[in-house]
Amino acid sequence: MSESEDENAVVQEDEVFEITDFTNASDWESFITQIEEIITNWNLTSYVKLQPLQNNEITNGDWEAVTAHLKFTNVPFTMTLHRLKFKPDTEQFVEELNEEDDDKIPHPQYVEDMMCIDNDFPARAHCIARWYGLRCFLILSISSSNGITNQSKCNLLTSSVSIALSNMSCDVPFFVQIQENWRRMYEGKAVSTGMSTQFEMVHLKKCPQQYAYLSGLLHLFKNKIGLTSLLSGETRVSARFTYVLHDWGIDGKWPAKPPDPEAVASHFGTLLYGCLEDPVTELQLAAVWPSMTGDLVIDNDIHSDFKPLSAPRWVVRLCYADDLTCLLSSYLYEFIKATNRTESMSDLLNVLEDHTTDKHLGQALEKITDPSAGGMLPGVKLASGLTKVVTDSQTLFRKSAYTLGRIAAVRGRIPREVLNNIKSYMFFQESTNSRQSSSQQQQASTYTFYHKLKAAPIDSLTHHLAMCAIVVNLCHGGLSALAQVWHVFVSELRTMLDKGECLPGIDSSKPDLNTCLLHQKLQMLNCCIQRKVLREQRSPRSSSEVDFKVNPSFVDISEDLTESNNHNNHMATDESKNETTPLKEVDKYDGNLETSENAAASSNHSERLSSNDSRGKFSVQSDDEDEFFECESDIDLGDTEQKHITSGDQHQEISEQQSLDQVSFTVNSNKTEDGAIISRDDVEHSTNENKDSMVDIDVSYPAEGRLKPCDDLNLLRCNSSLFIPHTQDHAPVTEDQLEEQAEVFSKLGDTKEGSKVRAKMQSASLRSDMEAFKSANPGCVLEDFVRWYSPRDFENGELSQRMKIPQNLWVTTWKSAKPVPAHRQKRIFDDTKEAEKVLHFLTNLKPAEAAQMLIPVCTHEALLVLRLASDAMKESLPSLPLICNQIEARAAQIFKQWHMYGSVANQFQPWTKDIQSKVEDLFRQITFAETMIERARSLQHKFRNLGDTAQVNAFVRQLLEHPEVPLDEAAVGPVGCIIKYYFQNQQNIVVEAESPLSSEQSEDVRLPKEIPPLPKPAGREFIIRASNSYPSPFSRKLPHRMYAVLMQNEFRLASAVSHDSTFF
Amino acid sequence: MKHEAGVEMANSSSVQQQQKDAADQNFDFMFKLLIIGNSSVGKTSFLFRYADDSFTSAFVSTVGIDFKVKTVCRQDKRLKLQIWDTAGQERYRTITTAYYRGAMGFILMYDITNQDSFNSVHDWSTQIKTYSWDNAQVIMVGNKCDMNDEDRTVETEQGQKLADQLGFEFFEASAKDNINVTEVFEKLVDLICDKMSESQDFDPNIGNASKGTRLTDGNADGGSGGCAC
Repeated sequence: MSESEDENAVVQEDEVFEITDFTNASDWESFITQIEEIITNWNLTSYVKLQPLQNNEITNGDWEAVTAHLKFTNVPFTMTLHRLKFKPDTEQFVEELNEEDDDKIPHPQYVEDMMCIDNDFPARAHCIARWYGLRCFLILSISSSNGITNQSKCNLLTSSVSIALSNMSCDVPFFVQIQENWRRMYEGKAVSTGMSTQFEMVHLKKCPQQYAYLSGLLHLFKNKIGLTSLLSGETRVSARFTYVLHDWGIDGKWPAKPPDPEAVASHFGTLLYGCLEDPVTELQLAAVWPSMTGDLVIDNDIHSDFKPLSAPRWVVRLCYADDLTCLLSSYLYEFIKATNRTESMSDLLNVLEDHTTDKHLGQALEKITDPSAGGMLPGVKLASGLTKVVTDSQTLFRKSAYTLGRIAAVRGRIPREVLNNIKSYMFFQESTNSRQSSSQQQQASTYTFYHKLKAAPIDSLTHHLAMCAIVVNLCHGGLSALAQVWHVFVSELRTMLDKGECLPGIDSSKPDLNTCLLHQKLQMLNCCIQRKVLREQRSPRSSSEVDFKVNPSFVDISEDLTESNNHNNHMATDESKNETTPLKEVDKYDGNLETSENAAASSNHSERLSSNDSRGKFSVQSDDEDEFFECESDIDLGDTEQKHITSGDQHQEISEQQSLDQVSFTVNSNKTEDGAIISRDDVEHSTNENKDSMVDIDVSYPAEGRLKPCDDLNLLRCNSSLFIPHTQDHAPVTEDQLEEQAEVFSKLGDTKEGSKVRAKMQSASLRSDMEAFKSANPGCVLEDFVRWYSPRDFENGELSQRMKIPQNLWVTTWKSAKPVPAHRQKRIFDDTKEAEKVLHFLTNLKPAEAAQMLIPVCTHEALLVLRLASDAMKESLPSLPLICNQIEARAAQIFKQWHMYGSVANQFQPWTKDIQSKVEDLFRQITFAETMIERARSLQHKFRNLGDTAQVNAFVRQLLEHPEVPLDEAAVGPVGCIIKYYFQNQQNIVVEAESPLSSEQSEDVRLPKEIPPLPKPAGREFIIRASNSYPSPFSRKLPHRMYAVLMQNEFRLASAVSHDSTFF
Repeated sequence: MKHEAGVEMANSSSVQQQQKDAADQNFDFMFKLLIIGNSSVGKTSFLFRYADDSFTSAFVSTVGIDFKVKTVCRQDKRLKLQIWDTAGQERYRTITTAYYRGAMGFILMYDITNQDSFNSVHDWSTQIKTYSWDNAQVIMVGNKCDMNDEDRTVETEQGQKLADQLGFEFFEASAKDNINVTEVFEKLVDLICDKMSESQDFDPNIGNASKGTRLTDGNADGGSGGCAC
């Protein structure tokens, strides 16, 4: 292309050159020059001879088309070269041939091609190639759409062309497109040594009576080439008659059983696929008679030798529905439509609620979903209406989905039972029948697949929600139905948070950044709920402890409580990760019974912790479940810590502890009553020391918050083991939060100061770890901490150089860190706040936005369905798995680029037009794949009686891969028989339809009349070839050819007549 | 031509970032890179050598994550490299791995005088596979190659062999003596550009549904050709 444009530029320069320098040059001359230039540039100026065309090479070979643009005065024209690509080393071979045949004048290449009978009626080719059998030709056409209708203009163009051809000694046939473009009328010329060929065409709407049969056409052709005597000369005729089958009958139609809309509407486990109408609309059977002696065949209005059932060749081709409605695609398209809507939840609500004066969203939505509100159930009517429509005609299914969708948007409401079903499907993780097994099988291969697509795991809550949303959107009334499901979903999340129930189908890990944002949000919510649950499980016991701890005089009471010690131990282990317990204690201590967990309370808490006084009260407890880890190996510490548990208890607790190892952060529970007795002296001692210097070793406080010993290390400055403390885990974050944080970091800039601020911002967890470490290791120094935390920074008995940098963050943080076990530190992760953020995020989404968030999940499911289907069809459609790979790769690419959040965390960012169009494009590809699958399934069904599965698959594959398929043994072969059967059925139906009329009129005539096995041919084609001296009897004998096609509404002749230009 | 296409791709994926930064800085495209590896292998030094051409024998051990920016020119385009430096301590894994997503390239570093850091390379590469985009490019770097032979514990061949196994490019480098520092970054940028242009080339093929439907077109054309010609 670019080449030809360059050429065009060259041509135009030349034009300018000529106009200025040769004032005599006319427009016409310059036009011819342009054509000659192009011919030269395309290297068409020498006569080349190629190897003869191979059988069906015109159909199977690779064609290329090169285009150039030129102008006649100011009218733009396009010149195109169509050419079958050369095979390598053909040309050399040809040159040798040329030298051998020096005596005779060989026919030019185009004549050889026209006379070659191996490429008659190519299945797929440019019309010129089809009509003339050419493998290389030029076309000149006007660039504007109207075409050239003026005869003198046509003549001018053909003259230009023939002058250019002669000047350049180019023997490529050159056609000029004339008349309206749709008529595909061409006039052409080819010039070679001593001869020229005229290509002419006739195109009519109706076939003239005298040319309706071969006999008339032969007569016409012979006259044309000067064969005056009908018997002289030999003509060869090839013929092809086409018959159309458009009614496959009950046995052949697909889908054999149309999907039941009710079933579709209540099927949430997975997406269904399949078409709603037959993708194979038509079968064309062509009976072909290759080259026969024309004068021996009889074909006229009385008798025809062309009997299709005895034709030597049968060929079939299929026509497919253009715009097939398939289920899988419908789900996706309807869903993507929903994503474009702008209505908010309350907008939809206003439509749904006819007479609500109080427009409070929550209330009104409650009414929608409340079964008692309003006696009507329009949804039920809707569903039954749908069924009725569909049982009438399955093709209406599609329309019904659209129109009912619109109706439902006005007054639709999902019936209560359905809504309940949806809710229970989403929130109760029942194993979903067949799906389960298939998803298990896929587990291994698709484990990373949903990650690639940034979707969500199969059968997760997110996945279930997506399935419900997409089904409801298609079958229960579009966006308003979606809104209802979304409302139910979000309300249920709120309820579960309030009740402290973990979300079903959401794993307990922190947000997986390789899943979709919605799934991450749900994981985050689940993390929050888990912590809330732990906190609340713990609360009854903590209250008693608080009382006791607040006032040491309650020790007596605590003695009473010891009887529940066992129970307490058990509880404590369960909740060992619950860091908010102290918070509650503080709240209660303050008389603030509203234990609403908020930042204020927690900071209040930490303030208290930082005062030595309160630390004296709160931290002076050892805790048993931490103790048990160390009790065997560590005896030194025995005196500072009390052991209340029997060894049996310990074992129990160890196992419990281990089972909870995924717990996000571990905090010891301060339940040891005796803790309160711990010497006030110690506390005061430590207070003093702390005041003096933090660097001084403070061994005065009891160890707390130990996880386990760190290898065999001992503290450097005192003789005790080095313990790894329980630490707060880093707060789980979702993608948008992370992005926001990165954004903040970026904004600080690439400077030293920026770096310092960033480090400071991230030092919270370092400080927390240091405090926990100090708490677990009384008497420790920074070197000890570093030995655990960053071992390589402790070399040769001292801190590394970098740790010794004065005032570096590690040193300063260490200095200011106080010994506080993790569970009494200010919590790094505020689950209450985070949970509210998630719910806020979800509540604020418009239904369309929720749908956008679910797109990756729905696509993931659709691709799984597609993959399964394509694997099942791979015998017939071996290319389909590759197409699936491409679609999957494309989907991965799109969803990876798609950020669903803006610069502010917790704010949904609707997708851009760019993403949307990419997703739409992706869906088109899915539709394409589904259509291919349905074609294959339809054909498998139609030819199921062909033999065993392998045979059927092989034949279907042929049908799908080739434009035409020749049938073995023509009419009597196995496929031929099946096709005859379908034609016979169609004929019976046609005749039955006609019979009522004829029966009254002439019953006698009708009865004996046999029903013909095939209908009348829809089209008849002939190729007639002959050799004759032309234009005069003394001229050289040259080959001629005429193609004819006769159809109901079209009659076309395309002739090529050669002239001897040397001898008359 | 090829590389431009690749850069374009990169652009679209970090387009949000770019729009914001474009206001104050002059560049055409932005790449996010990440340096990972055990603590004390010299990640921060390496980065400072590249970004500031400076070397200090001791940088404060990185807390969490930090970054530096360097703008380079490549084929008439200004590329802004935002290079994230990470804390190597085990305890920071969860924080730093979160940043893997979105990084287009990784420098996985070990210290040739420290066997442990070399032994951890495999774990780090697993981390990359788990948390990063699957088309992220990785270069493995053995740092501190200025050290004496008696201090060296990991031979060049060992490093090269492991890199080959893992499918990474490999360099030995020294931030101190400024050996191979620029080369490592340039190579990484090259790899990213190549990869991007590859997927860009791949893109039109599958990105265009009309290509997919060519099969049908052929059939439909042929279908009418059966009798309509």
